[in-house]
Amino acid sequence: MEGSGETVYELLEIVFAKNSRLQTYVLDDQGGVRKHMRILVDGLAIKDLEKLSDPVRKDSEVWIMQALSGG
Amino acid sequence: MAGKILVSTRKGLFEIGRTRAGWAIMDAHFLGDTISLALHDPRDGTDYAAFHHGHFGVKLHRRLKGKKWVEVTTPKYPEKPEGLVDLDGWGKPVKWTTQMIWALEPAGPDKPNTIWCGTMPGGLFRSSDRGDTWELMESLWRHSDRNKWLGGGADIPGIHSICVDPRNSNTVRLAVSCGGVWVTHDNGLTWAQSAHGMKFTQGPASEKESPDGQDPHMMVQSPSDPKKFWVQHHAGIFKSINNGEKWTRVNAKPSSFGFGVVVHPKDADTAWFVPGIKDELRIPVDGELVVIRTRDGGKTFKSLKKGLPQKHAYDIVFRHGLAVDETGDCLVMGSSTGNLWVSENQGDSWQQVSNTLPQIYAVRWA
Repeated sequence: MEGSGETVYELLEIVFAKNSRLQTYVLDDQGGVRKHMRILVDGLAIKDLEKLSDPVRKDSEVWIMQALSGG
Repeated sequence: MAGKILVSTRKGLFEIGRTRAGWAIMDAHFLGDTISLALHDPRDGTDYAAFHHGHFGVKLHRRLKGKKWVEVTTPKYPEKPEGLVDLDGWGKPVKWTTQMIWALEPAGPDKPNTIWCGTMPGGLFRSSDRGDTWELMESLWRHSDRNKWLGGGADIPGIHSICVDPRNSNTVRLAVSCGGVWVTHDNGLTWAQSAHGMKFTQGPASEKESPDGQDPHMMVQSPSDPKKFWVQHHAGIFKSINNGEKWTRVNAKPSSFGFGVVVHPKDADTAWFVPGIKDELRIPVDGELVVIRTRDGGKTFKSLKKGLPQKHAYDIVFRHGLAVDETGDCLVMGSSTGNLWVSENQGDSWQQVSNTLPQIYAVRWA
């Protein structure tokens, strides 16, 4: 999916507006990143897991990944 | 006899039914996903399944009678006020996020479509539209004594038992691990502690008898004599014969430690438990799995073992892993090692349905 924004939060707001249920799968009730989810911007994990304030560029690639765990 | 059993496991939800050859697995849903609990609402035939997904968090699915499963809304906590210091009984910050659905109950015959939902970290929710929308019981969540609640076996506190009073559905009692027993008489507007008399056997005197720190593992209310309650507590078995106003200890052999309890729907003095050795040794006594049954209100207990493994059995039955049907004759029991048994004679003998299921969290007659 494509979107725009200055920060990860702004970008995901646009993505989640198109699919509201997706938000509950990636973020928790308070808007923080779920503990076994990872968000990477241009290959680097974001630092702000609560407010998602990490910057994104116009051509940035953002990955949302599951951190595999459990048995 | 109810015809179906919902079995919630670490890797899916299974439906068990009775065939001519005996009880058998009839269907499997959500394979690979962790289901913490399921509810069959006998008022309208709706089924609910609570997901405890490792990556995506808690989710709730619903199946209207004769329809397919669909995802509905998960109970959600409100935004935590900026700067609020909200610590649990351990002194750890409370995260305002639904971390597990640990109780689902119909709200009573006069409140169709309404269900209660107990969660970790301790919020109680109510839906009046079968899970489309949810309302947090703010009065309980913002009660100052909630900050005394703490995690027991889990890291955070949670509501696992919801008893809607058959005499008046505005009266609801909850059991919290660890937070005692809470009662409302006005459909959730106001709440009061009701675990007086429960006590731990060890610890500082100030802590042992504090109602807010009690760890009732499971609480059930007698449908036939609703002033009577049974609790399997972390530190033994307790009963109340006066609406939970006062609790007294009951001693059982081979042990009073365990998680689940069920009461006979037509006889308040008949109840079943599944003992383990003790809290720091959670395996059956001598590797022999037994169910214990009292028929005299806890004065005596009988060990029921016919059909259950009596050698090297290390099954633990979790708090929602034991259930009785509406006749009181049929019991179902699922264990931590994926064994599932049914009894059709009040526990006198047991038939093994499967020994290859995933770890079983909850069983429910449907």
